[in-house]
Amino acid sequence: MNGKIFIEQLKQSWLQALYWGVGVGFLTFFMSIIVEDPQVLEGYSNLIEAFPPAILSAFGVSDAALLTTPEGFIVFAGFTYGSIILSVFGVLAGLNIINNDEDSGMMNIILSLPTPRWQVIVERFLAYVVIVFVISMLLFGGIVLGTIIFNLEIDLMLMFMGSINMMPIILSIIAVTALFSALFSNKLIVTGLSAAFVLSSYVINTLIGAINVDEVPFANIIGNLSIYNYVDSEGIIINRAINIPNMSILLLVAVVAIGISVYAFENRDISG
Amino acid sequence: MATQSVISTNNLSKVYTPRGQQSTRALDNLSLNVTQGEIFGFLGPNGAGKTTTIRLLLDLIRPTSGSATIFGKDVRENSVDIHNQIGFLPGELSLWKNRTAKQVIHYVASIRGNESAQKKEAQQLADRLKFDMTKKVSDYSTGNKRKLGIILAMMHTPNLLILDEPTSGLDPLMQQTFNQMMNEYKAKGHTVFLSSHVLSEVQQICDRVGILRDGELKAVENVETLTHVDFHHVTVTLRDAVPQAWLPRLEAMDNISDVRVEGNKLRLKLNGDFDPLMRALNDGYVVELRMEEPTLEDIFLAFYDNESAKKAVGV
Repeated sequence: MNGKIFIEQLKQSWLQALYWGVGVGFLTFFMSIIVEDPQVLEGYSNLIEAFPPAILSAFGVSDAALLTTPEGFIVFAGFTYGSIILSVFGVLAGLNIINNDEDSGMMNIILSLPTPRWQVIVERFLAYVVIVFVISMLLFGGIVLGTIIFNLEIDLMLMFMGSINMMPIILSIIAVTALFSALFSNKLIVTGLSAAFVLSSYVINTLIGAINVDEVPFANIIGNLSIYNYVDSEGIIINRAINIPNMSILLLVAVVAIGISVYAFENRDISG
Repeated sequence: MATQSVISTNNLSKVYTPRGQQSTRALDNLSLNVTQGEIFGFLGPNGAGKTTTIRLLLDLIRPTSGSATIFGKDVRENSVDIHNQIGFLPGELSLWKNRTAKQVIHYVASIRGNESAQKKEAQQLADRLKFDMTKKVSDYSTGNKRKLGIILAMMHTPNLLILDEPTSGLDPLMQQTFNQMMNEYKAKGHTVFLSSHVLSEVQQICDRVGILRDGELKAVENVETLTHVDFHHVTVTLRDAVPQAWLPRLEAMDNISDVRVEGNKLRLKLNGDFDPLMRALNDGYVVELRMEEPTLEDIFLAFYDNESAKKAVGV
């Protein structure tokens, strides 16, 4: 492994990463504008308190009062929505690991070079670890910028942890999309399966959040199947720490998916 | 001096089974040897299995049965080692559209290692092919993309070149340059394995030719043997309409067949010498006399005298 594919992936993706990073950075900066005005935050608080608890749970909010704090609002509106938006990035990035080059025929050139197949997957995935970190930091940068411009009293350490906390779910979506690409060469099938995986995970997490899991059989088990179940942004504010077990589960999903991708890709024909 | 085998396949077969569709046997028990220092042409119509063979040799696809070795090493077990020593030009070259040719060349060179030597060689090849490396890939014409592909395949001076339809898209002048390059390459003791469905292409540069049809290797011949087909397609253009009396006269001749009249044009197939034909035409004013090389279909027919060959070339 000489890192050339890793570097090439960074070269090819830096502009894409910049667009996404600036986009989500703008989102969190916009949250700072809202947070800066106490009247807006109070109005938002009144609105949220009117929501039934089940609906709030469905959106991953267990304590409505938390949303009335600047940190709580940014966590809910910035990190929760941010992770949903960046899920789209995860699918697009996952397609770049195998599928896009295979679909265009470029993979024929790459694999005719002295490059083992596993190296293509592993180095590209590692490049995306860096890219996702950069995007997370741009997201955090939006909060920092808002804090400085509007002189907000926000615990930036918590915001930094919230930004880092988003990385595992994006990486696991990239890895699962890469896994689908390793199993199927057809881009439509891969995109469809990846979108279905993300959407079903999100819907399961939302529905399970809205019901009383003790009353519905297997609800807990089904809920655990959703990757969004392990994104505990709210917990960072409450516990003032990243939920390491949840983060580890998502990272494990990513590593296992990449491992299976390598095996599957090694043992199938390249299309084209 | 004993010739060393560079490519060797042993009953290599590939069956494609698309989901929900019938299986297709793309390659059937191919056993072939390509020796060091030769230019071997793999000739066959579209869909004959040429590209499948190349993709199997490159370990891009896996055989249903049989095996293949390059430089004595199994293509599956030692693909990385083998790929260090080969240059590959795919039939349809697809590269990153938003990168310049120079960037693509540098990337490929960096993966292979020994970058500076490759960059120097790439520049020399680019000069020779009159190729500007500064443009984005998306801005190149088909022919220029082909040139870029040739540079990528040759810039590390590999021991073996595997080229899929290498001259498609190149203008005649560049085809000549390419042929010269291949001959020089061969003179250095390197080996070339190229596929084509154009007989004249393999005729000009290849030492031996394998004919592939419906996934089966039908023959491996020296190129002289293969192309020494003793007939020509002849078109005679007359100033006036073709005289009616000529038809029975020509059809009665032993070495002429397939006579057709189209206005003032007379088309026929001539076996052997031209003299009997010239004598038969002496009472007409001949404006033009054209000869066409035997087509791939003709070669198949001459070799196998088999009507199914027509199906194989889609006529």
